[in-house]
Amino acid sequence: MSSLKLLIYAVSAEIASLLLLLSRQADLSLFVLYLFSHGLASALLSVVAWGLLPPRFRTPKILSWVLIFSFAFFIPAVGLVTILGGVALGIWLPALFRDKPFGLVDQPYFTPVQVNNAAGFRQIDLKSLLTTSRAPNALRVQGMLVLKDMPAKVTGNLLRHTLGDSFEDLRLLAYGILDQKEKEITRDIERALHLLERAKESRRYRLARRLAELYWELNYQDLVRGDIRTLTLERAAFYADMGLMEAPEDAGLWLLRGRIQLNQGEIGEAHQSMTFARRLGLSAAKVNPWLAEIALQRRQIPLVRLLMREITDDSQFTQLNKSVEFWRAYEPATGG
Amino acid sequence: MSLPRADSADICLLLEGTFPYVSGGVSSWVNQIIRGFPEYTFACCFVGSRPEDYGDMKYELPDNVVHLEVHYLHNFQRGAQKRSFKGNRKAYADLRRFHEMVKDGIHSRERSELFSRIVTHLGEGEDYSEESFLHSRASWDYIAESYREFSRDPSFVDYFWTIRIMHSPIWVLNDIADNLLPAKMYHTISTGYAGFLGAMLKRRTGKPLLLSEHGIYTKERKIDLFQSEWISDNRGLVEKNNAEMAYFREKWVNFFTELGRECYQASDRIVALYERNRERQMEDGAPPDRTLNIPNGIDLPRMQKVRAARGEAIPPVACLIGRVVPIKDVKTFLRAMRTLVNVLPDAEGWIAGPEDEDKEYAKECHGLVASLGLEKNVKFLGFQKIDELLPKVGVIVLSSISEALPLVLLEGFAAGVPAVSTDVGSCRQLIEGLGEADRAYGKAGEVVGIADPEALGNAVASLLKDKDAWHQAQQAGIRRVENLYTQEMMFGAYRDLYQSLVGDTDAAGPQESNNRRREGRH
Repeated sequence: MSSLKLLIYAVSAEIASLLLLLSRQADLSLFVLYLFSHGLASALLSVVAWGLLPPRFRTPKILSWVLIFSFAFFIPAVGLVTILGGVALGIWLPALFRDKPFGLVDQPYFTPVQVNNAAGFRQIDLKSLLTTSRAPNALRVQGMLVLKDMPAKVTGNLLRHTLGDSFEDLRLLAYGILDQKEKEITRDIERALHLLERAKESRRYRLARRLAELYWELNYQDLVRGDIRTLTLERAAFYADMGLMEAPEDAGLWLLRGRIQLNQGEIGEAHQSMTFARRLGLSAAKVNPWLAEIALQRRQIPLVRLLMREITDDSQFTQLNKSVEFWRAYEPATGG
Repeated sequence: MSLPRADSADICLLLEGTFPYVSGGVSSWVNQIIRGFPEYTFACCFVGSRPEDYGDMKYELPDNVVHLEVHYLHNFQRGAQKRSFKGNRKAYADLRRFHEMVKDGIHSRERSELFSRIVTHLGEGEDYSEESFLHSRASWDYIAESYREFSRDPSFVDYFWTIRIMHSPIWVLNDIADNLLPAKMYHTISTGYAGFLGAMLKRRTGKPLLLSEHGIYTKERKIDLFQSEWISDNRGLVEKNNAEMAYFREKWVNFFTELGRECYQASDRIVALYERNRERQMEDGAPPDRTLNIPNGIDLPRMQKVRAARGEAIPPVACLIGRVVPIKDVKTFLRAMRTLVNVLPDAEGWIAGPEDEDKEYAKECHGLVASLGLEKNVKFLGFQKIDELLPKVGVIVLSSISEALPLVLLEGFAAGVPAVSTDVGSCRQLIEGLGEADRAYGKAGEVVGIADPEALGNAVASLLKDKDAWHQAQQAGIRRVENLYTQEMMFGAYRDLYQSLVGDTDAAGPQESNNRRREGRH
């Protein structure tokens, strides 16, 4: 039965009992009837009130109910209010004094802190710092931290040189940096090889191209030497060829193939690949420097000049601009 | 299997991540030392990271190991009851004073007294209890203040947890120290956590502490930390100075440096394997008058039998003996094999060592063999008995990026196998000799730079190809080991150390602090 219904019954019984009490007749049977009616009202009310109590006040079951019933029965009307008040106090008071699991602290705030040792690091270039054993080791280690964030293509030589340093920490750091860079690329290669094994026909070209680029990257970043470099270049060439079988019109890949061949010392083939790249529409700015290099190796100086002149002024190759300028100036009277 | 237990021992070894649960050079050395001193009883206190990082025991415990206990530093208990309280502000002011002195590099009586006071009040209910560190208001305030004052990294959350996690093993060590059996002396095989435990024990019991360091722990930690990717740097792009280490990285490095320094300061004697390492220890704070060198030694009679088992011919086999882990740089060995096989197509490369320590790395190595096309020439043998392996080997190769005084080189020499090694640790000293007299024994192989596979491969190839050079190197190796690196010499030196240190306690009797502690426990 819902507590609302119970409440209605209780209130009705109580009103009945009050009416009985207020009647002028003083009769024992009437009083017993009153007691019965009031008792019923108290019992019902206690059931409702007990149900509303927080769980920890409900044990022991019977006694707690009897307590509420007694209040309701022996102190009519006021008793019930008292007990509800008691319950409220019982909930609020301990809460006021209980240890809270969380306390409030001030918000921490950040004040920028400067490093106190503004070591004379800036007055010396990294290379001489790392290659001299006269500089304090702590400073050289600091220099190494800078190298860590620089491209391996630039730092490779220096790092390799540091591998033979007399200070072990520096050696290990250099090793760690080189190893890390090499590992990143090797991991990508592993992944691509794995994909290639199960690749559909349509994806083979992309993966082969990616592999050629990755193997090339190992060489380009100067992470492989000696026999391993030879092997890496072979792999790069192999996958470049595989890619070109699928997509013979990929000018960029022809250029890459040319550069790989150039590194392998196969100048003739490199020349052919690069010429293809040029014919397939790659700009002079991208291809000609390599063709010029081949021409230079073949001692065909006028050809170098010709090739370099083909590179337009607005070329993005800012590093190249100087050499383009040089080759332009090489032919007198036409400078502009 | 239940571990041996005893009430007391002569020498208590403090072992961090080594014997008997990890195999390797240091563990073999510990095994050798224990077996070499049957007159002493040993207790082994193993300290590891997490239970799941170790398997079964890799060594049979010698009979004179009467006690073995195993502890883990990162075995967190979760859900413990938390309760906030005020904590002792005065105590934290002292702690601040101590850290200031550490920061400024001041070594004074005051610092040493503060340290003693701090490490003796780490127990439950005391000023520096773990509970107080983790939950007291005083601790919070100290951390928050330090953050404001020193942190170059803006993230408070990272700062707070870095400090908590960094310091948490200290209370584990304190518990270990509380319950460790009494011993006449403590012998730690590294600095780091085990060394710090030694320093704590020394401060509490007054018993002598001996430190034998193989690799330089602090240095190895430092290199690890430089490269680790789990330490965050929350500075913005414009706040960053590339020449500056990430702040938390620096914190960790400093932490381990100080652990090491406390151990050096507390040790009665500090043993290095060779001179360069001794110098390094002094740079890191070891008092020079307590340091000495004792090189590793080899059981010659045993190795002579191995040498006798060799055939006449030089087997075209280059063997790397060591665990397959990054520090051994197995990849460089494999790449060198490519060069070697290009010169000598029949040559074989063996890798004799367990692969379970760094499975990821082992997998990469196997992958590399395939990509180098060396499947026919390279074999991974797993753990091998050295007596059976060495007679079949032509050259021992060590491609490590860091070593101390590798036992495998000495064992190889004694067994008549020359070596090609990278120029790390004392390898050059072992192969080429140090000083006039030593150099006169000749070159027992070749030394090359680290991470230079081509030079390594070529050096091995030229040794294997040239019979005369090979035999000369073999003889040089044998002479050098027999004259300079025998087990008798090493045991002799340690016997003196043990006798003087154990003797110290017998003469002086247990110190007062020790008595007090023991009464408190029983």
